[in-house]
Amino acid sequence: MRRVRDPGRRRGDGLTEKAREWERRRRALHGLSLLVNGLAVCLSAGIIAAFLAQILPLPVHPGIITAGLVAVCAAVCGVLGALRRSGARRSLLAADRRLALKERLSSAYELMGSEEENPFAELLIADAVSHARDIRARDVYPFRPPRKWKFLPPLIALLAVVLLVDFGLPDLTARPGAAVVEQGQKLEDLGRRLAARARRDFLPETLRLAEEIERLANDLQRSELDRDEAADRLSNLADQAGDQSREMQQQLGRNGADGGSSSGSRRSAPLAGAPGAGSEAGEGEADQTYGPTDQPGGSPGGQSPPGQGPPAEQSGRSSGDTRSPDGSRRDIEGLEEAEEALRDSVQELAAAEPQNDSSGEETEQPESPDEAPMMLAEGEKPQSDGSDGPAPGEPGRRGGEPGTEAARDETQEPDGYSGDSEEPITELDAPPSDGDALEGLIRALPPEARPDRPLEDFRQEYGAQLEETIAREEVPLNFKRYIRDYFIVIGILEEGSG
Amino acid sequence: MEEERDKLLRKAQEVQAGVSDLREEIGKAIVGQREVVEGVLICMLCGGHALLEGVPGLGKTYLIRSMGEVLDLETSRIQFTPDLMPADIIGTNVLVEDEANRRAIRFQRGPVFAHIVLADEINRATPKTQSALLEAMQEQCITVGGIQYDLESPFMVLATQNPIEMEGTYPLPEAQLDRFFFKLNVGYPSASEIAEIIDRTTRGVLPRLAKVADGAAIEEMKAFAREIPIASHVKEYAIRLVLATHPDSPYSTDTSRRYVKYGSSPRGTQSLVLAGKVVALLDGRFNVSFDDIRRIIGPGLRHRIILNFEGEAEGITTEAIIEDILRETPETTDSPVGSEKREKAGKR
Repeated sequence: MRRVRDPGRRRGDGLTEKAREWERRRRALHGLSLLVNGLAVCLSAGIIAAFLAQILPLPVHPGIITAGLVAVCAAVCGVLGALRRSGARRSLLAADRRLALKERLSSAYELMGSEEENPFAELLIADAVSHARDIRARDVYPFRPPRKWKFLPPLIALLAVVLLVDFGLPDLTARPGAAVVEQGQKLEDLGRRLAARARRDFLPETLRLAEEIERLANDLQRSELDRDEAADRLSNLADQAGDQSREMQQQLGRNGADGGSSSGSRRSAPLAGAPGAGSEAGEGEADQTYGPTDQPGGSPGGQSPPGQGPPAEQSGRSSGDTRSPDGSRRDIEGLEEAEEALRDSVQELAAAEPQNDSSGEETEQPESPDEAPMMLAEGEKPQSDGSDGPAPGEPGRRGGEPGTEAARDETQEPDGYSGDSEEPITELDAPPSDGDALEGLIRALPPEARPDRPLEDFRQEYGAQLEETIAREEVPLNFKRYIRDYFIVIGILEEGSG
Repeated sequence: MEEERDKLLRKAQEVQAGVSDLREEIGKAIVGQREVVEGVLICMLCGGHALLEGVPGLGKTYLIRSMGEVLDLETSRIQFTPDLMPADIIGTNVLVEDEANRRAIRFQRGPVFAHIVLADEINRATPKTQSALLEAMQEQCITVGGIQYDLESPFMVLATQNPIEMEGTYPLPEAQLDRFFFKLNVGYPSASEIAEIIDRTTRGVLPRLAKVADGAAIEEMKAFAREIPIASHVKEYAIRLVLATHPDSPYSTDTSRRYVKYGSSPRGTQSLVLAGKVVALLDGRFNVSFDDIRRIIGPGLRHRIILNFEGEAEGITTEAIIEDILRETPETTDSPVGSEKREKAGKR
């Protein structure tokens, strides 16, 4: 039997079509709202990308990134807007509410789908259709600009500014200037040597300055400073060292004779527990070791019983009192040495060409402290600057400071091992600089005791014996580091060993 | 189809015209009180009973008497006093003697056997006497001596209550209150209304009211109004409003949770829906709207909400709670306000 459609429902089709029309507009407006929100997000991301492009190398231009994001956003919003369906009832309810129709349309729509018979259904549906006929989609869903719409123009303007204007942001991937890095390496060596000596001799001011030098060296090597900033900081540090040393001199007064004689004895002071001081490795190999010998000018009481540290006055220490005249003088010498090295660095930095500083490469100090003494160990002549040591009464400034002409001379072949042309050092007026310690030791030996082969040949064995001796329980714990530092400075042990 | 539609339209217009005439005719006797008159007429078209509360002298009794006049319906008045007995309301069996001196027991009907019963100051009678009305109001019949007597339709009880005199009164229990379809507050007239009252009542002749409709017409109107359809979302709205009066309901508001002890029974929902249909019909529409529900929620629910001690101590009125419920309850459940409320209630 043919099914006859309810005339009421047939007349209600007009209502359904109207509802669908309104629903399409609602989806379009919803998609537009999503698009505006998405654009705001994409533009913000583009701005961030543009900023990043100024400090990091991006594989794609930020403008292209932004355009791509916008395109994807538009596509996604269009799909989402089209997919969102909420049915005709929602649109009819919205029309009832917005146009104050007292739920005529939504009630009629419900009756259209109801299977219950109601005498008012037809009347209600006809009434609803007549009302809906003249209603336009924009009456039900008027256009209202999305709330984030007002953010789009400033975002676009900001994006344009960031893309077109170079803000001079530092390039995070940029490599540091070679000259700055080189100075940083040199200062790192200087700081390390100064620190080792300061710890050994209890020079607090020198130690503080050494630590600052090391910090500055790290900054230079990490490219945190440009040339001008590096030069400024070097100058400031040099001034600081100079001021400090002058202040200490003023407090101390000048007494060169006392400082020379007392500091010179340090070289000849034997070190307790050092190989050669009764160890099995030292016997029979006196010629090949740097063990303590009866050095001229040595203190008669130089031998310290095992397990004890060297006599305080012989080592230049005054039992940790850095304000003793002798200690203060050495502190001043350390400061002056550091000041000179820093000023040399400033000059070298100023003289170096931008990004192509090679003037100091051949004449610079070696890159690691180990190489300074190793230069002598290779059979080369020691530095010959016309003086075997400081003049009496003068601070023990020896050649070999970084950046000086004497340091450049050190790259030449020292002849410490050959034992020729150099008179043996009988006494020292001042403690040698770190680079000269080994040379001084060698030259202090009598000719028959000097080694006839380079240190490098037996350094490893000597170093192993040293480590074994230092580890012995007779050596107090608080002296182990002290002793190890000494042998590191003079090049027997490598830093980081043990 | 067109004829059916026209017939319905005509019928609807008749209903609207009839109610309008009633309103107008009653207005000749009663000055102002338009909302009360409207409420009483709606209540009558819904087949319910109304409780009128107001201070003495506002025309409550006169209103009901006027209604009886314009509707050509038998009216009776029961003045409730503390010594009133149930038999005084429903009637009793009496021993009568005929002319042949034969005695017989005959049931003498009480004043409840009328179309419109005015129960004046109902809160002055004892609960036992008050309960005598319960069966009549609910079942539209009474039972005396095992015999059931039906009350004629339309049957409507209009009770009055004086809020001033609380001493020596017996507040209506919740069960009896719940049987009233509407509770209408009769307010004090304005100055102009008082002036008109004086003009009308201090002259020689009181207005005579014409009969506008009869019982049969009222019954037809009642049946017609019940056919008005209500959409599911409107019905759900009415349900959520009633549920919001319950403090432990997920639809409840902060106010109802704090101040309400007991919420409305399902009779409240019935009153909202039925009255909504009548309101829609009188408004010329054939569907119930959200506004219709909101319009009659006050008379329909104010007497069905029982406050707790805190509510009574703080002087909270049921009207305030209803207003808060209307404010907080959304029309449709897909709105964010509705879902958030349910989420909060669920977490609680």
